[in-house]
Amino acid sequence: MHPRETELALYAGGELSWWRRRRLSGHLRQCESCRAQVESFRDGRAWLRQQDELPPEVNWSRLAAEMRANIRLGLAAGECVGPVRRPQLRWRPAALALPVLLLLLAGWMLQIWHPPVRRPAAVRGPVVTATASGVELRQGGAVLTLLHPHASDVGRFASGEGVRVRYVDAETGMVTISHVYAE
Amino acid sequence: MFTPSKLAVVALLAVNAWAQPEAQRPASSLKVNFPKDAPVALVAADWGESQQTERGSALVLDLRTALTLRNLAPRPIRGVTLLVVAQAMTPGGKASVSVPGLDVRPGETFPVRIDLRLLRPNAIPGPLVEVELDGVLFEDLSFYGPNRLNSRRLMTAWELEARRDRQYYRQVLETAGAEALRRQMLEILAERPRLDVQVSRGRPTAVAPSGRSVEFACLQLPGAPLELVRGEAVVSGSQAHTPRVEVRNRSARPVRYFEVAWLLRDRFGRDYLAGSIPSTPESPLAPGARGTALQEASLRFSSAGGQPLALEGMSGVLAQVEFADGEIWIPDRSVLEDPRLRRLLPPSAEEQRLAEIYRRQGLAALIEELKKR
Repeated sequence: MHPRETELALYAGGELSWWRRRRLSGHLRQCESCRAQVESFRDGRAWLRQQDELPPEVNWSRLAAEMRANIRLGLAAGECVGPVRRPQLRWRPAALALPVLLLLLAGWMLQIWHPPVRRPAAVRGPVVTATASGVELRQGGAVLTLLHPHASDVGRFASGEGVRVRYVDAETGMVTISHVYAE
Repeated sequence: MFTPSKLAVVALLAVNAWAQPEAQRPASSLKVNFPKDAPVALVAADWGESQQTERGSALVLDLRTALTLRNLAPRPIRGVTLLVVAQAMTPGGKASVSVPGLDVRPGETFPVRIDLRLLRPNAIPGPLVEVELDGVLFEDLSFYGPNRLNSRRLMTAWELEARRDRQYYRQVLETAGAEALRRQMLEILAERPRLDVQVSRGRPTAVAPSGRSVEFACLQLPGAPLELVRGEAVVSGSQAHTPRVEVRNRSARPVRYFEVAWLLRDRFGRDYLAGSIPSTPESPLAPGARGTALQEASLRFSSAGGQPLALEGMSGVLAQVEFADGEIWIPDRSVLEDPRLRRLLPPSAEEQRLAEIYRRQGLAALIEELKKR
């Protein structure tokens, strides 16, 4: 997907932020048409700069006199109309500060608020379950799992008091028997 | 120049970093507590990727540790059981890690891995998990330890199975050759149907056992000290409740404990080993007397893929007997050669270990291993 034309224009003028400029550079390396468009924007800027340059034979004294006259005229006209009060944009800092404050508040809440732990409903006693990763004992909101992360050839058996798992430890090659009891 | 978007991003990153749960090293969360006169000593503990994290008010302990133990006794060690007690779980539950089939000479070291995850709703001071020694079994079948988990019986049975099976495979090698031994190992390594199981202790509530009573098919073993008389369980869908087996002592010796292996059949005719039903702790079963194995629990079974198992039938076979004098009986190897039992019962821990040696190191290494002891 190609970037928008305005982005390419800002890029050509070196007015993009660091991150966007870096992202766009990546695209330009691969996209010839966008690269051509950036080049055309750059050419346009160069042309405009050339047009801004004044010829060397300008009469500066006459130009300054004309400018002073225009300024005086403008001030006189302004006094007739009266002062124009532009509204001061004081809401802008507040609007910027609000999301930051909200983020800080959220962080503070996360630190001090401990969400309630969900407890299994109506479990009468301990429950032992053999799962793919190990044997799990659930009791009163706590969970203890004996894991066998390096196991092969896993056999699971209900024993008299819980569940027994027998496996070969892949690291040591030793047969290991995990037993989780529920009493 | 700071634009509003930049300010917001910076603030967001700062808040996120601040709100992240703090991970801590959990060395203080686990306490290894061996008696002073223990025949094994903790030499080192590798904490690996262990960490402890607070999530809201809950605490998550992810423990990945390898303990290195040294044999301080003058005899070789054959098995070790460590008791794992989580403070959050007492008095309801506990766990153990056992390593059978060892051959640790005096002064040698060996590793025991403990990988566990503990989630508890609130933090408590002190260590969260304590590891204690429940028992050590030596080559001469002598035992050390508090035996809170009946480790003596369990490890002795495993060691007797190991001796039986090593003897059998040595015999296979001598009489039928290396190729026959290889075939046996491949049989062990073959996939067997496996079950996932959930156990809830206690008598089922009035809601649960709305199923039907299913009788056990009792498989008798020639020469076994006990005869299975009858057995039953209440079955509803993939759940079985309170399995119960009645036995008669046909030996001349009183029996302190016995265990019945519990086999399930689903509606497609596939058989699974579900587990074992232990005898109820009563006074020793006198010769000729009847006793009961009973598991007051609800068990839910599913296939390895998570599909609930539709239970159709059940059978039981005597797995272990402990006589009043402490001697332990396990089924003879010739009995286990029965094709149906061979198909149903999983390989012993020693068979699993030997097959692993074959898989990793080849037949020559296995033959060397069989010659060792």
